[in-house]
Amino acid sequence: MIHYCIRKLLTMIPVLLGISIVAFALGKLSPGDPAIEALRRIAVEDPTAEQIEAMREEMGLLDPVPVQYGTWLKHALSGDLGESYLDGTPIGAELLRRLPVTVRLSLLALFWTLLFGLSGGICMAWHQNSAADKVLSGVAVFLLSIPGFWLAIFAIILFSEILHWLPTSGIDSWRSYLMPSLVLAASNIGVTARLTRGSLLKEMGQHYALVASSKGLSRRSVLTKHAFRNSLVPVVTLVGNYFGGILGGSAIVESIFAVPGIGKYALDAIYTRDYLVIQGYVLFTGATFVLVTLAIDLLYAVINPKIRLEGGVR
Amino acid sequence: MGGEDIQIRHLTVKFPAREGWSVAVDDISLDLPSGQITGLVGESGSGKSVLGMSILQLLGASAKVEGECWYEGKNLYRAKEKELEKIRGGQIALIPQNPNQSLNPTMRLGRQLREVLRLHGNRTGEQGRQYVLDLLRELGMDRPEQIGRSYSFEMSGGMNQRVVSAMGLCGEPQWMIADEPTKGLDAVLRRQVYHVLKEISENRIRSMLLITHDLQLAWKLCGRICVLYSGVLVEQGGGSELFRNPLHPYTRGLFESLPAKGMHPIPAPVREKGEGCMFYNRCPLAKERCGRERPGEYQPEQGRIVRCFLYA
Ligand SMILES: Nc1ncnc2c1ncn2[C@@H]1O[C@H](COP(=O)(O)OP(=O)(O)O)[C@@H](O)[C@H]1O
Ligand SMILES: [Mg+2]
Repeated sequence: MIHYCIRKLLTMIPVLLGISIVAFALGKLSPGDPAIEALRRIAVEDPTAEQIEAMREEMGLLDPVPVQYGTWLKHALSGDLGESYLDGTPIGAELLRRLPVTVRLSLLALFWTLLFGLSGGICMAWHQNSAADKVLSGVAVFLLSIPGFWLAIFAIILFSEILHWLPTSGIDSWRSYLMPSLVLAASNIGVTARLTRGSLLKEMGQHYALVASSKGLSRRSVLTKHAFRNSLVPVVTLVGNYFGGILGGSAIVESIFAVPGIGKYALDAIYTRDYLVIQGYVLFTGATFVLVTLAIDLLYAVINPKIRLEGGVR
Repeated sequence: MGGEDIQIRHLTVKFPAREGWSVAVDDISLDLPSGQITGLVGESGSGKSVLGMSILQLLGASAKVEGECWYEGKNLYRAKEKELEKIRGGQIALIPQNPNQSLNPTMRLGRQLREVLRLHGNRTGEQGRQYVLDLLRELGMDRPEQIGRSYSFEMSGGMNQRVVSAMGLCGEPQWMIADEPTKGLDAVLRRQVYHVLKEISENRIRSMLLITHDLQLAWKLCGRICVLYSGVLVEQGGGSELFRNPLHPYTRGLFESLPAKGMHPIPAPVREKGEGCMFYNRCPLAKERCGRERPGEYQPEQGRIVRCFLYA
C-alpha cells in the first residue's frame, strides 16, 4: 500500500511539471510587453527606452528562459501568480476567494452525479430489459447528449421565468446552487448511470455471483453485498475524471448563471485578454485535476483489496 | 414422489442459439438416491454442469428448463424463489467448479463463509466463527484464522478449493453437488481433493452428486455412475460393475482413453444431431439402424441402463 501511494505520488510530478510549463508558455506567448505594462501600472504612460530596459532588467526578462521559468515557478508555488492587467488585483488571492463557490458547486454536482447516476444504474440493472430499464436508458442518453448551455437556458426559462421557483443568477442562498449544479451534473448522471448498469450486470454474470446465489442469497443480496462493490471500480475512474472535468468545465455554467466562481473569472479574463489570469487558472485547475486523480487512485485501493495488498498491478 | 432422493424426470435444457435453440440436456430422467455418491461423467461440454445447476435452478434467465425435479415432495423446477433460497446451501449445496473464480475478490474469505451460517442454521457470533474454523481445520488447513482474514487471490487453487468446499458444508445440507472438484489440479492436489471429498462423504454429507471427467476419482468415490454424452444419458450402473464391464460403446471408449489403459483417444465429436443415436458418427459398432432411430433405454442386467441397440 505504501509503495502504491509513493508510486502514484511520483508519477504525478512529471504531469504537474508539464502543466506548469504549458501555463508558463501561455504567459510568455501573450502579446504585449510586460515591462511596458508594468510601467503603465506605476503611471509611466510614455516610457523611454532606458526606462523600459531598466524595467526588463528588474523583472528578470533578460534572463535565459529556463531561469525565468524557475523564478516564475518559485513565485507560483508560494502563491504569487502575478497581478491582473485589468485592475492589478493579485491573481492568487482572487482565485482563492472565488474557489469556495466553485468547490461548492462542483461538490453538489458530484453529489447529484453519484445519487442519480448510481441509483439509476442500479435500478436499470435490477429491472434489466424491462420497460423501466428502457425508459431510464432513454433518459440517460438524453441527459448525456444535450449540451449543457441548452439545458441551462431551458431550466432558467422553466424554473425561473415561468414557475418562479428558483433565482436566475448570482448566489444568494443554497437555492441558487440548485440549477447550476444540476445542469453541470446532467451529462455525468447519464454517463454514470449507463456505466453502473453495464458494470453491475457484468459482475452479476461473474462466477462468484452464481456461487453466492448457490449459498441461498437472494438476488438482492447478491447484488448489494457482492456485485455492487466490484462494479464500482470503473465507475470510480469515470466519476473521478468527470469531477476533474466539472471543476474545470464549470466555466460555462458559472457564466450563464452568473456564479462568481473561478470558472467565470477565467472566462471573463479570456474576453479581456488578461493572460496572467488565464495562466493562473490553467495552473490551478491543472493541479487540482492531478490531485483529484491521485485521490481516485487511493480510493481504488480502498475498494479493491488486490491493489491494497499487492501494490496494485493494474 | 418425494423423500430425500432427487428424481429428475424428462429434463430438457435449451439455450437460445443463433438459429433456434441449442439443446444442452436432452430428455434426461435420472434418480439420484440419497445416502450415496452418484458420479456424473462425460467429456467437456456434454452437459454435466448444466444438469447439476438445473437442480438448484441456477442456470440464468436465458436457459429454458423443461421437465421435473422432485426433492422432498417439491418440484424444484416449479418452486418459488423464496423456497429455492432456503434449499440452496441449506439442503442442497454446491461445490462449484473453478474455485479461484468462485469467490468474491473484494470480500474476506471468513465473511463469505459466515454468510452461509447467517442464512442457514442458528449459529451466530463467536459460535459461528468457531464452527467455520473447525471446519477449515478438518479440511486440512493449518491456520484457519489467517485464512478467514485473507482474500481469494492470496490463496492457491488448492486452498480455494477447500474454502469453497467448506462454504458448501457451512449450511449443513443433506445434499452436495460437487462440480469438477479436481479440474485443472495437479496429481498432488487431486489426491488432497479426493481425501476431502471422502472425509465429507463419510462424516458429514452422505448424499452427493459428483460431476467430473476424472474417471479415477469417480471410480474411487462413486456408488453409482451415470455417463453423459452430448446431453444424453447413455449409461447408468453401479460404480464397480460399470468400470469392470462398460456396456455402451461410448463408455468403453471413454474408459479406454484412460492413461492406465493406454489412452486410446475417442475420435473427435461431430456436432450434428440427426435422427438417430447421438454417438452414431463416432461409434465403431454403428449399424445402419443407429443412424435412423434413437435407441431407447434398455436394461441388460439388474441396475444397469444402457441407451444402445446392442442391448435391445
Ligand atoms: N449459459 C449458457 N448459454 C448458452 N449455452 C450454454 C450455457 N451454459 C452451457 N451451455 C452449453 O451447454 C453445453 C453443456 O455445457 P456444460 O454443462 O457446461 O458442459 P460440461 O459437461 O463440460 O459441464 C455446452 O455446449 C455449452 O456450450
Ligand atoms: Mg462443467
